[in-house]
Amino acid sequence: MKFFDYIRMALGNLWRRKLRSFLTIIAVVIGAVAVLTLTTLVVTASSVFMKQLDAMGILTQVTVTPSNVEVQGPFGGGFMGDGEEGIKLDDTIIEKIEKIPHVVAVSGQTYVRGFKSVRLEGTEKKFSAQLQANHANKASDGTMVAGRNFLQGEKNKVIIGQWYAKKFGFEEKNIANIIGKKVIFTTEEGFSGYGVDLAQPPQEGNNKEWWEEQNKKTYDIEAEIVGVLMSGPGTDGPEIYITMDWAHDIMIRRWWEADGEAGKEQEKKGIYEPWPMIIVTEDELDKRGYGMLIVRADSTQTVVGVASDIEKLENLGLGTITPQDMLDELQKIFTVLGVILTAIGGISLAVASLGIINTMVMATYERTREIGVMRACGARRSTIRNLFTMEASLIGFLGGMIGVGILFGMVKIGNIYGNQFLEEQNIPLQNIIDPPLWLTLGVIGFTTIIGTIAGLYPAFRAARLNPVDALRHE
Amino acid sequence: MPIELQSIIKTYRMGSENFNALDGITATIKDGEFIAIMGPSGSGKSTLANIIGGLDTPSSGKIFVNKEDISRAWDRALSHYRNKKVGFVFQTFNLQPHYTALENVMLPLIFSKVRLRARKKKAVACLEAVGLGDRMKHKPGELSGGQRQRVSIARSLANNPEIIIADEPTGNLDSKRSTEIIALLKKLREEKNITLIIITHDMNIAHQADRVIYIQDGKIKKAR
Repeated sequence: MKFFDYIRMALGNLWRRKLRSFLTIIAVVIGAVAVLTLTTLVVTASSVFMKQLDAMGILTQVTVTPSNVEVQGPFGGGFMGDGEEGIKLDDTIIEKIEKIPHVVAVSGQTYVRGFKSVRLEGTEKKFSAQLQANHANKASDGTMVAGRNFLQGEKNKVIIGQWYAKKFGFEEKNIANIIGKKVIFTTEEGFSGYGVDLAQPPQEGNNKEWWEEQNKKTYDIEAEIVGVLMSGPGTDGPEIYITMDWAHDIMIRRWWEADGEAGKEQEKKGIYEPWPMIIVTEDELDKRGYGMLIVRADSTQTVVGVASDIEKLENLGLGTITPQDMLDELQKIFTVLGVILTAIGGISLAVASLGIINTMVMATYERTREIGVMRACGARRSTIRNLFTMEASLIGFLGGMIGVGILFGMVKIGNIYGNQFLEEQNIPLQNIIDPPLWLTLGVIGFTTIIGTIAGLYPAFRAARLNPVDALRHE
Repeated sequence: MPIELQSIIKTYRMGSENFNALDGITATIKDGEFIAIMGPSGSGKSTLANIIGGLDTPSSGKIFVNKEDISRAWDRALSHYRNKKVGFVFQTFNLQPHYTALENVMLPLIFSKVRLRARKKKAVACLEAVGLGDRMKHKPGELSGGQRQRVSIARSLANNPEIIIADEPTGNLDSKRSTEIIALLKKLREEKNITLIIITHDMNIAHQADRVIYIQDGKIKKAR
C-alpha cells in the first residue's frame, strides 16, 4: 500500500468519526498550546532581557578597574571604583587599551563627589545625589527614554536615570515633559569646586569662627535636565550622569594657604604681619585617575578575549568585569525555568496521548470486521498496523498544527497589547513575542511522535487479529 | 491454477479439549473447475474454504496451489496470494458501508499498489461486468441485496483472480436473485477461466457444479 493511500484512508477514517476525532485532537491541541505558550513565554522573557542588555551595550562591555583584587562585600564581589587602590586609570592607560584588537571605544567613568543632594526646581523634596561622569558614551543613545545625549564638554547639564524621573513625579506617559526642567544640587559642606568663589579670609583678629563658617557653607548649583536614561538591568539604581569636563570642575578642591615664599620675603623686610594668603588648587580627578574604564568590544564574541587581554596588559594588574558570568547565570536560570514549564505543559500532552490510545483501541473494536475484509482483500498485518498507526500519528500531527495556529493567533493579539505596553513604558522594542521556528516545528514533530507512540499498541492489536475471527465478528 | 490438499487437519481448542474442524482432507481441484462444497452446519466447509483462500492455515497437512505449498507461508506471501490470486464472496457481502460501490471494488487494488487512475478504471470495468455500471456512486445501504452481492463479486474480480471462493453467496437472497448471482458467477468463470469454489446448501446450485464435495465432521464423506 502506498504512503499516500495510507494518509487518504486514515484521514477518511478520522473524518468518518468526526466528533470523536475532533475531541481527541482537541486534547492534543490543549497540550500543544500549553507547551507552546509556556515555552514561548520563557523564550520571550529571555530574548527581551538580552535585547535590552544588548541595546544598553552591556553585552559588549568590559569594565576595567584599577586593581584585580576583588572587594568582597555583603552583596558579592564588587569594585567601588573610586581609584584608591591599584594603578591610576588615566589617559595613558586608555591609549594602551585602545590599541588592543577588537576594542572599539574606551571611556573613563567616575563617581563624582561634592554634591550631596538634589531636588527638582520648584519642589522641596531632596534626594541623595549619585553622580556619575562618562566620556562620550556612544551606546547610550539607544537607551535614552527622552531628550538627548550630551554635547561635547557641556556643563550644568544632566541626564537623569528613570529612577529620578519617577521620584520627581514624571511617569512613563509625561516623561518628555521633564526635559528642560532644572534640578538644584546642594553641595557638601565646605565645597570648594565648581561655581564657588572662595571668600577672602579676614586679615586680622581671631578668625576661627570665620573659618568654621566657611567649612560649613553649602552652595546650590543649578543644572538642566537634557535627557532621561532607560532603567534596566545594571542601571536600576539612582544615577545622574554628567560630562567628564564638568566632573573635573566639580572635583577641583581649592583652599586658602599662607603663601610661604611671600611670607619669608615679608619677614626679611622686617614686616611681621600675617603672611599673605593664596588659593591652592588640586584637580582630584587628575590626581587619582578615573574610577573605572568602560571598554567596548566589537562583538559579544570578542568581549571575553578583550577582557583577558586587558588583564594581561603589561602586568599592570588591571581588573576586569565582563557580562559573561552574569549571562551564564541568567542563561542557566532561563533554561531551568524553560524545562520546568515545558514539563508542566508536557503533562497535558501525556493526558492527550491517553485519549489517543483510548480512541484507537475503540476503533479496533468497532472496525474488527472491516479489518477482516481488508485482510481478505490482501492487506498484510503490517498494512493494518501502519494504517492504525498513521491515524494516531495524524491525530497528533493535526493537534500540533492547530496548536501552532492558535499560538500564532495568540502571538498576534499578544503583540498588539505588548506593543502598546512597551510604548507606554518607553521601551524601544516591538513585537517581542516571537516564537522561534524550532519550537513550532519541534512541537508539531513532538505531538506527531506522541500520536505515533500512542497508536502503536492499538495498531499491534488490530494487526494481530485473526482474519477469520475478524470476518465473523458482529 | 490446480489446488492440491494433502491430509489437511485444522485443530481448534475448545476449553480444555481439542476439536478437529478438519480431520484429514485430501483432494485435488483442477484448473478452472467449478466445485460445490456441501455439508451440514459446523462440518468444516468454511474452514476448508478459508484455508484454500489463504485466510487461515492448517494445523498440519499441506496445500499446494500451482505446486507451491502455502500451508506454512508467511503473512506477506499469503497476503499477496489472497490479493492477487483469490477473490472472496461472502454470504453477508462484507462491503464497507461508508464506501461507495466503486470505492469498495477499488479496495483490493489499493493493497496491490495500483495507481489511483488505473484503480478507478479497473473498478469501473469490474462493476460493468456485473451489470452495476449505473450504481457506482451508491453506498451499500442504497442497494438491494442482489446488487450488494454483485458489488462484492466485482470486488473479488478486481485483481483478475484465478480462484473465486464464495461462501454461501446466495444465503441472504431470494431464489430469483440467487439464480441471477449463480448465473453471473458461472458466466465469469467461463469467460475468465476462473476456478470457482462455492459453499452451499442449495441442491440446485450443487447440480450445476462440475463436482460436489460433501463434508461431514471434518472429513470428506463422498465426492461426485
